[in-house]
This record gives sequence, structure tokens and C-alpha cells, in this order.
Amino acid sequence: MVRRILQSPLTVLGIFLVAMIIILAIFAPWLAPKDPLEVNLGQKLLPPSSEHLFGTDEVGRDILSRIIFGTRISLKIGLMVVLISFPIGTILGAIAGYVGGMVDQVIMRLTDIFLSFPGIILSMSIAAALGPSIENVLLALAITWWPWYTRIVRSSVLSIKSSEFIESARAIGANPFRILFKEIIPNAIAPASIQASLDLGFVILAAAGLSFIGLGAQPPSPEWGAMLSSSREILRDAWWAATFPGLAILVTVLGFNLLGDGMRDLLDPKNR
Amino acid sequence: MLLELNDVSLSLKRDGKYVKILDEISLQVNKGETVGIVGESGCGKSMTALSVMRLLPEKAKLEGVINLDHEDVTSYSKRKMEKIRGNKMAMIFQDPLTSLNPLHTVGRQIEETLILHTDLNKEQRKQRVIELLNEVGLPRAEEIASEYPHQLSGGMRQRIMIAVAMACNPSLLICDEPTTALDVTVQAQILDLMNHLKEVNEMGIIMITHDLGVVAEVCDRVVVMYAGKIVEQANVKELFLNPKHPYTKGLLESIPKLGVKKAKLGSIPGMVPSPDKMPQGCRFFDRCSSAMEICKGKTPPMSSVGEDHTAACWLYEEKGGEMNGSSGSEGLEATLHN
Repeated sequence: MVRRILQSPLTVLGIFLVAMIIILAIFAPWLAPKDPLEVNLGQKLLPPSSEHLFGTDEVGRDILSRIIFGTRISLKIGLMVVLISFPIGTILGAIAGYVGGMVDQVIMRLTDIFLSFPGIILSMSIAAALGPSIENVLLALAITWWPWYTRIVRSSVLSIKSSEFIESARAIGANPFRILFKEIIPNAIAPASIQASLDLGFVILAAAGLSFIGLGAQPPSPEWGAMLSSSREILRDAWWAATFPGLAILVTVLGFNLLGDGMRDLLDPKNR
Repeated sequence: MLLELNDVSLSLKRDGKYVKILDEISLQVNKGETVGIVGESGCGKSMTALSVMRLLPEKAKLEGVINLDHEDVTSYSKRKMEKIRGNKMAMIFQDPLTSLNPLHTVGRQIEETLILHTDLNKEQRKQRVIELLNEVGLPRAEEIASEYPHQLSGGMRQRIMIAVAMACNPSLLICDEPTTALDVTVQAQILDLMNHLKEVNEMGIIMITHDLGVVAEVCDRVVVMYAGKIVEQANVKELFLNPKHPYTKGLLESIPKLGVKKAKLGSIPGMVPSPDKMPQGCRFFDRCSSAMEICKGKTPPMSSVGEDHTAACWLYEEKGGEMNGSSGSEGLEATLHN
């Protein structure tokens, strides 16, 4: 297992990036050189230097420290959205696939409704309706995200439910509920969990996008999207104020994507 | 009498209409007896077993009486059936690899039966799993219990399946081609094991197979099925030495025999008719070498052709013979001279 991971340098890079982000998030107070919220108008818009590695923003806050604390917000959103939408999507998809008939129709048409809107527009309208805050962004993204898992899980359940071990579980007297949760879902969950690991990156991206247009984190919160947004006007004078938060988003999304891709290759039985 | 099927018919919905898959199946299984069900693919052997277990597709119509320990189980609710499945009756499937969940250890899968049907606590269940693994002849039981299906060989997996089925000491065990996926030496071991377990536990076994070698090895009585109907029923010796129904004869002739040089192995021409285009009269008519006029129009009833030996064929039906005069007796003579 370990050797197969090491064979793919991109997966190793993904693991490294994700590990780095997690470490930064956990140890932010110790790793950040300055207080991310400390305003120092005397030191505003300083270019990168040994004192401020990534420079300072328009009110003199240390950008490096803000980015380090920003990992906490981004990771929290990514994890929470996936942790909320993944179980909901999985259970609904499993029920749709296993029960079939009318139940299947109702659940799948519901997912169709959600999937027929572009996700970002739907979450924008939900976030706008609920009012701008991190929690509402989280909720808006979770609401738009679960149908993907429902689709994936349903299709794998459909192929698993006709396997012989399901028949033999019935033959020892297991009830449908038990079969669904003990036999079918554990076998159907792999493709969806790969999607979930890829989605961590996309959720972070979407949340940054919502914050950028002002629907998410509010200043002075060190959220990357919000940082980008507030540095928009000073882009010509202070390239560092926009570049580093942007790079942070890039690195994070890339890390989760590489990790997800590596996981897919690793879990794909065809590559075994 | 452990299990009794009385005029059991089964219809499945195909393309919007019901098609009869089983037609008035009647058979008995006693305690400590192995009854073989043989026949070609698609003749309804497996469906008979699934009807007893009531593991049927959603839209199936089951008629007739299935008595298990003198209780009609066809009237049982779904929940009540779940209680006796795996407990009073258990089933073993053909392919032991696909019948085991790849994600659970085999110990866990044996334990599942115990969780479902007994009040044993965790420690007792663990003990019982080890006991069962020993019973089905697996060495180093404790190690094997924590292994996954893919780590075991085909024969070992089938032993696991047997352990799963035996966990609650069922009184009826249904085996659907349990040895088809195994190689010959392992086959013999598995059959021995099943014979042994039957004697120890006084189980009744239904052995579904198309392998007449397996029948000779383990069965006490044999039921021959053709196109959803039982055509002959006898004890094993009688059936092999003195087959009556032309279909049974055809089946027996199609087994190669060692030491006998034959230019061509016997085969039965034609194919089993599909259930939605069942011919009137005898269903074997088209393929039968001793077919008569009467066979075309009327279904032959089951009639006694010897001690504990019944067959559904006009050849042995006195009335049919009379009604059909010469052709009937000619056919009879022809078969007798065979």
C-alpha cells in the first residue's frame, strides 16, 4: 500500500500539500508570526520583506499570518460541507437505489432539480437570502452539494444490490434495513468518498468565490476569498495583497485534487 | 415430515404478464434425508428452492402449500420469514466467492447469523464462530475468522458458507449447486462434510444440482424436474438402475461411463421450451423418443411405477395405454427392451 502510494509522485505531492495545510490550521497561533487581526496603519501596504514575508495589506495586517489563519476557515468550510452533504447524499442515494420504484423517482427527480441549476448560482441565491456569514455559506454549499453523492451512490448501489452476497444475506434472515446499512452502503461508498476528497478542494474554491463577491466571510475575517476581494482595488500598487491569498487557494485546491486523484487510482480495483 | 410442498406453483411477471415458472410441484423432505433436485438449466430447480426460502422477486405469485414442520410458511409475513431464514432453514449458493461480502471478515459473516437469531453475547458468539469453523473442517480457526474472503481458497470459502448456514443448526438446508464452482477433489470433500453434518444434526437437505455424480454421492431420494414440472421421483438406487421417464433416461445416458466405448454420447435433442410458450400436453413431447399421440394433447399425471417411485408419463399410465391402443404398448415395449 505505502509502496504504491510512493510510486505516484503526484499523490505524494498531494499528501504533502494537504498535510501542510492541516498542520498550518492546527498550529496557526504558534506558526503565525503576527496577530492576523492586528491593524497597524503605520505599516500599511509594505512589500514582502524579512519582517513581513508576504507583505502587509491596506490596513497594515501581516498577510502571511492572515493566510495561515485562513487555512482554519477554509478547512472548516470544506470539511463541514462535505461532512454534512456526504452522509445525506449517500443515504438518499442508497435508499433510491435499493428501494427503487416511486421512492427512487422522487429522490432522483429532486436531485435533478438541484443539478439543473449551476451550483454556484444556487448557493449564491441561498447565501444571499440567508444573509452574508460563514455559517450561511456553509449551509448554502451543503444544500447544493449532496445531489452529486446521491447520484454516485445510487448507481453503485444498483450494481451491488443484485450481487450474490446480498442474496445470501437475505438467506440468513437479515432485514432490508440491515442489508442496506451493513452490506450495501459499505460496498457502495468508495466511489463517493473519492469524490468527497476531490470536493474538499472545490468546496474551498466555491466558498472563497462566495466570500469574494461579499456573500461569505466579512472583514476583518482572514478568509482567502474576502482577502482577495478587499485587495482588488489596490492590485496595481500592491500585487502581494492579492497574489498570496490566491496562491493559497491554488495550493489548497491542487493538494486536495491530487490527493483525490491518487485515492481513486489506489482504490480502483482495475489498477490492482 | 420436515418439509412438504403441495401443488406449489410460481408465476413471475415478465413483460407485464405473469408466466408460470413452476407448475404444481409436490415433494417431501424428511429429517436426516437428502433429496436431490436434478434437471437442465432453466427447469425451475433453483426457483423451487427460492420459493421455499421465499427469496423471490418482488412481483412473484406463489400458490400452493409449503409446510415446514407442519406449518404453512406461505402465509408467513415478511418479518416472520426473516426469523426462520438462517434459523430454521438455511441456504448455500453456487459461487462461494460472490456469496461472501468482500468487506467483512469471514468470522464477522458467520457471526451475522448469530446476531440475527440468537441472544448470545459477544464472547459466546466468538466462541461459537470458532466452534463452527472447526466443525466445517477448517484448521487454525482463530486465524481464519479474522481473514477476508479473498484470502481463502474456493473450497475454504464454501466451507465458510456452510458454517454461515449451519450457525443456528437449521433443520432444513438448501444447497443450490454447492459444488459446481469447485474443483473435483474439493467437491468430494465438501460433499463428505455435508453428509457428515446431516447425520450429526439430523438435517433435511435439498440438493439442487445438474451433476448426477453428486446425486449418486449424497442423495437418498431424487426428484427430476423438466420445464417447471416434476417428471419423476424415486430413491437414488431405483432411479439410477430403473429410470422410467424418457427424460430421466436421456439424462442418465448423457453421462460418459468409464470403460465403455461408445461412438457417441447420448444426448437429448432440442431445448427446454420457454415458460411463456409451454406446449399443451406433455412438455417433453417434442424431444421424446417414445412420444405417442396422447402425449400431445394431455398432460400425463404422476402415477406410481414401483415402490416409492412415481413418474409422469403416459407410457406407464394404464388408462393412457388403453385409450391409445397399439402405439402406447409399442412405446412401452420399446423402452423395456432398451
